[in-house]
Amino acid sequence: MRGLFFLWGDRHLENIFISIAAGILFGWLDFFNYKTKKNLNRLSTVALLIMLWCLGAKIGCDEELLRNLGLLGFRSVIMAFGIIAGSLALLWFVTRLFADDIRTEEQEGKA
Amino acid sequence: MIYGIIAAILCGMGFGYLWLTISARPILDEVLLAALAFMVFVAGIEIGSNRHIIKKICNPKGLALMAAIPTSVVIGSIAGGGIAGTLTGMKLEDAVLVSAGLGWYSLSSVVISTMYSVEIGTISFLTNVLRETLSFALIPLVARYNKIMSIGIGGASTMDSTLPVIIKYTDLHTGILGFVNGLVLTLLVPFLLSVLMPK
Repeated sequence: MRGLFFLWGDRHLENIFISIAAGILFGWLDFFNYKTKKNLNRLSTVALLIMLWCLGAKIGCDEELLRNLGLLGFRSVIMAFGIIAGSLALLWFVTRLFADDIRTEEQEGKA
Repeated sequence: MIYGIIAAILCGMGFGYLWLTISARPILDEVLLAALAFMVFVAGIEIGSNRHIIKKICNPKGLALMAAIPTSVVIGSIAGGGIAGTLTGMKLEDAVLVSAGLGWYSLSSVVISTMYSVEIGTISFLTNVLRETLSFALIPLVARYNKIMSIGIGGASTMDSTLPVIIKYTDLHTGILGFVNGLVLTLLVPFLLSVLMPK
């Protein structure tokens, strides 16, 4: 069990928590004006593209992984789509179940 | 934007394949985490400056929806992945184990390959990387049809890497539900893996 807790840190959860907590605090205190927030949002789109580029580069530079990609890739692609389809199917029922609440919230959001 | 997302991934893969070796990985990880930290910081600002939304979610119905989303994502992922995996000739217990990674590829692949089998660990890595990568392209598409459903695609990644995408293509309210969903799933993955690990 200790091994698992050690791996939890592998995702740099602390970093993420500190960043999001700092963001919520700055937002709560109204630290940034509208223009700065707009610019930060633009920068965040750039950060997203940089992050995706790195994600791709991490896969591209790993020759062993690329070799395995053909061998095990087929199963993985089918499974990834199956997993996503399963999640979407059950969430569809949830949205039916909560349909009235979601609709009123959306209308309030528009008002 | 969807094209930008796909282009960024493909350009990265091409660049990595042509000009980088595996030794570049630690640097890529550093950049990746810095970009991610910045993105969740900006997402946090948006959540913090809209406190009325947080207040609106904290009611019995809102809390029930907050619990129903991760529950259905876990059941849906394991059922969908189990069926899809057995269709490709995998053992049901292996397919279920891979699905229980819930998109957290770094943890699930390491745990499965060290505690069970390297082959299943690799499938787990690829499947869960694909789940996260596909999320970037699928969230904008599904969000047009149904905002809540777009949360389910990313699995555990909806608390960090795919959270900014959810907020961009839906609204803050859905973004907060996505964050809670990712948080609950992240805490569940180690538990699910240890329970579902074949003896």
